[in-house]
Amino acid sequence: MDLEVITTSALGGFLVGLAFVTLLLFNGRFIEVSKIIHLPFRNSIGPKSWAYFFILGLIASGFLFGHFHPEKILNTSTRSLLEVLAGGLFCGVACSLIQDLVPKLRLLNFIGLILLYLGGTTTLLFLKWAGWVL
Amino acid sequence: MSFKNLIAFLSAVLLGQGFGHAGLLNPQTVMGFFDLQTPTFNLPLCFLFFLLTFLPAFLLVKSWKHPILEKSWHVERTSNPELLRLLGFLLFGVGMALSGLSPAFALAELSIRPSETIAFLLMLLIGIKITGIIRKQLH
Repeated sequence: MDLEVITTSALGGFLVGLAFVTLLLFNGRFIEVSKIIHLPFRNSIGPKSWAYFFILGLIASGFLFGHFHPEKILNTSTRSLLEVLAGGLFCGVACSLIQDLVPKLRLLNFIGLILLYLGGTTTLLFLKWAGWVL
Repeated sequence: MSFKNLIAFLSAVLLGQGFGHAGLLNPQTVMGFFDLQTPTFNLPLCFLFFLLTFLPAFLLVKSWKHPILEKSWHVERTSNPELLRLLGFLLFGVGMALSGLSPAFALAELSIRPSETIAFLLMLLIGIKITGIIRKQLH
């Protein structure tokens, strides 16, 4: 494994952790992006403005990162739009079924992560077998 | 802008920067995690260092009565049966392997690859909505 991969992933993981800690410590919320995206469309009671600011922050962050590190955002995959659409639908159904992942350190979540990996590897193997991914 | 909104904004900025540095804003890196022939290790390493950062803080905060800016914790509890949740994990893996995206990566990539990520997010919302309707019908 490349040392650069380890250091950049470590820095990335640290920043992601810091993001989670910040929102939890101050606002008492977990970062569950699928829920945050869905929040403006829900008829739930309670303030939603923080969700708009979160979405805005994430979009702005991607823009800034792309501006300063253009080499790191290149899309080198050969996926098609159909795969992106199918992926979005699968993720949407999945998010609705999983609901909250982060707050619980339970065996179920670890089994779930193994299933996530199995689901992904099986899909990629199938796509390669069908000749849809190079 | 209230302080709570500013915190949400800053937290999202940190999240996006984290994804970027870990190389997760390139869909190929995410898809590579599931590739058995030429695997990439960015995603599991990022997750490991996320846990190392987050868990100590989470365990510390767990005993607090309320967060700094709020009077109570905003943690929803799931009502879904465990088998359905496990199915959810499996489908999430399928979705990630197909698109190289997750809801969070898609939002961060919105300004980088707008057409693809908008398509992904629209389908994501449709997926959430459809599952919600089916669940209501079943109950």
